[in-house]
Amino acid sequence: MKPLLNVENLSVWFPKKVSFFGKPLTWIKAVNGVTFQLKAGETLGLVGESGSGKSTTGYAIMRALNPREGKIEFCPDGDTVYDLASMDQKELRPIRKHFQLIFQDPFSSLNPRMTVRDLIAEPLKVSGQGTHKEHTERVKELMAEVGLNPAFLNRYPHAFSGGQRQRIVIARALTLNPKLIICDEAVSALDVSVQAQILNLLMELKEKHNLAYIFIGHDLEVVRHIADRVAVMYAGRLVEDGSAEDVLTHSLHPYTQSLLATAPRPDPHFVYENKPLSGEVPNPAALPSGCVFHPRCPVAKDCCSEKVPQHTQLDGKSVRCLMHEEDSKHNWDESFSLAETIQDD
Amino acid sequence: MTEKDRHVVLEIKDIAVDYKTDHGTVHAVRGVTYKVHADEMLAIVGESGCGKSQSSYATMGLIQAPGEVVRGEILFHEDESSAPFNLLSVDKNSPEMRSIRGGKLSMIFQEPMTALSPVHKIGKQIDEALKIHTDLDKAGRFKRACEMLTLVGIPDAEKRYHQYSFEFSGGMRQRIMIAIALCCNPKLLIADEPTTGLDVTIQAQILDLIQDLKKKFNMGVIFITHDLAVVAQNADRVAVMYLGRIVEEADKVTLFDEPQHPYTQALLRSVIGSPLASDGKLKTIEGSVPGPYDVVEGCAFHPRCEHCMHGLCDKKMPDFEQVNDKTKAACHLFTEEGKHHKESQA
Repeated sequence: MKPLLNVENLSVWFPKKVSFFGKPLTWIKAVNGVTFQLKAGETLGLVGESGSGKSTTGYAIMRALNPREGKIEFCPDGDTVYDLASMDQKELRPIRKHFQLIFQDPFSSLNPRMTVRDLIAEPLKVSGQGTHKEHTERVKELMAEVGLNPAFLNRYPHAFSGGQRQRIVIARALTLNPKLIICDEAVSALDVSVQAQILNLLMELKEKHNLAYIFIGHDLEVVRHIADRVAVMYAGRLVEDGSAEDVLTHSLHPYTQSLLATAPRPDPHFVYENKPLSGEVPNPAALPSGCVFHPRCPVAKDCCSEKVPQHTQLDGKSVRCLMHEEDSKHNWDESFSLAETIQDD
Repeated sequence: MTEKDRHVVLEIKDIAVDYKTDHGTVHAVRGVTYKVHADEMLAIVGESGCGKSQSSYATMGLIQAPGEVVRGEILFHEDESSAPFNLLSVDKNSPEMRSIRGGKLSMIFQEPMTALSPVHKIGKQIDEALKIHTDLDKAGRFKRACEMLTLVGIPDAEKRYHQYSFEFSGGMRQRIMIAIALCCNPKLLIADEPTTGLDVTIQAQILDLIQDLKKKFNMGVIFITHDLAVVAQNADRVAVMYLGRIVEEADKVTLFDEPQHPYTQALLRSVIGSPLASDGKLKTIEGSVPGPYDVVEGCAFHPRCEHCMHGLCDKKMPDFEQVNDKTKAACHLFTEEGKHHKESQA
């Protein structure tokens, strides 16, 4: 069985400075060499600070942005593989129904002048399926499925609360029976109790329709709850990738560790061991040399500013840190043994 | 130090805020009472629309028409010896109020981009507060502004003094807001969702900074948020609000370990990662928050409450009172009437 999605070495660059003739001179490297796989029915949590390129990755997979290089192999039926990265928009149209997007803010992602019926039926209309009557039937079915009263068919979005609007957005994403849904911070704008309702709904729908999610979020607790696998991004690069439990409890990369150490938890007895990370995410137009995380890294060595770390497979995780690479591991061993010898004296 | 020995900075007694609109009157705050001590962080938590910001806007005199504070008292104790000053006894634009607001009472807002002026250098914006509230000369004010910028963790203060707000990142802008708020050594700082919209690492930096400064200046902090994780990490005491009223107030550990009010219990069960939350499917609160114009008789939470006692909870609003030695709550499960009602039903 082929994976539903196979992203290889995906890069998205935006031109920053353009010459007089329109040729880009400098680039903002928003996403750089991202590689991951996603099976049908699996949830991948994509986490990182703002500006780390997690949304850009999602949009590039949807081809809402054009990737600069890399492969996006999408296999909706377990058989035919489409490389989304090399197809043009016309070729993409028939495949688009297999992947949908849910945005963060349910207040701006619904057209205030369209009724709920029109909003949810729009994908059907655009793809030219069925009659008006069939659309209405499907809309009613979907509204019931996401927990909305089908009698509210002809109301406008303003009559609904934030949580209900997010349900409308989810219903619209489900209209064409997609295989993959990209949830871009789908619950961040909602209140806690509503957030729980929407997360439950997303998890129910996943079971029912064997959906795969790419769940983009910054709240590690939410991602831990919903995701099967987690990929951590920093400054456009994937720094760690593995099963959710593994990455979020036994993380190997210093960045993931610092993120976990500083994320507040709703438990007053939790002891925070580390000081928060200093500094901020680097400007993507002027990334640091070597490992992009080295200026903020609590355990950085001289070699970190020179060498770019590669993916290393370790304990079922893929991690990009020189500390775990065979050739450069010794830099850290030395300091530990040095510390030990000092203690011995 | 026990709670009694500590100096009370702000006392809010039964205040109510109404907004009169064409569609009817919205009771944004419906009788809220709390105290803030020096060197204490009181967190006010609640879902959007529960009126958590409104009581502190009233404190700052920021309620604007059609809003109006319809009853209650807000007592500000500048220091232990001075007589309390009722902030509602003077007009919100009076010289007395203006001399306190921004000086002794300060506020940080959620959006540092909209709260800072884009056309003034950030140094000038700090200078403005100092000009109004202190009698320092120009050189003194410049020195103080640079000190504040360094204190909140902005390096190279003398150069940054002359930059504009758009030249700073989100986290840095929030630091500038804090510098402006704290430059006159306030007794009370109101932080209205100061870290919402910031990344976790930046959020941790800002919260650390507020904690440090709270101790350093011995100030009371009212921290308004919807994020229970931030509350669990930072607050000393917590007040939970629902539809314009405080439903429960206790110290942080008691509130998270032994929540008394059904709303607090339900809320904590729906927060991922809290000790009360279940794995897998989360428990959620049935129904949704009533709209602003809806009138709910009795306890505002009764339509969604699993312990609702018909005939009492939907008739009479429970008083906010001490339910045990640690917790104050507003729920008929703890009132005499509630107990009688239960017995008579049985």
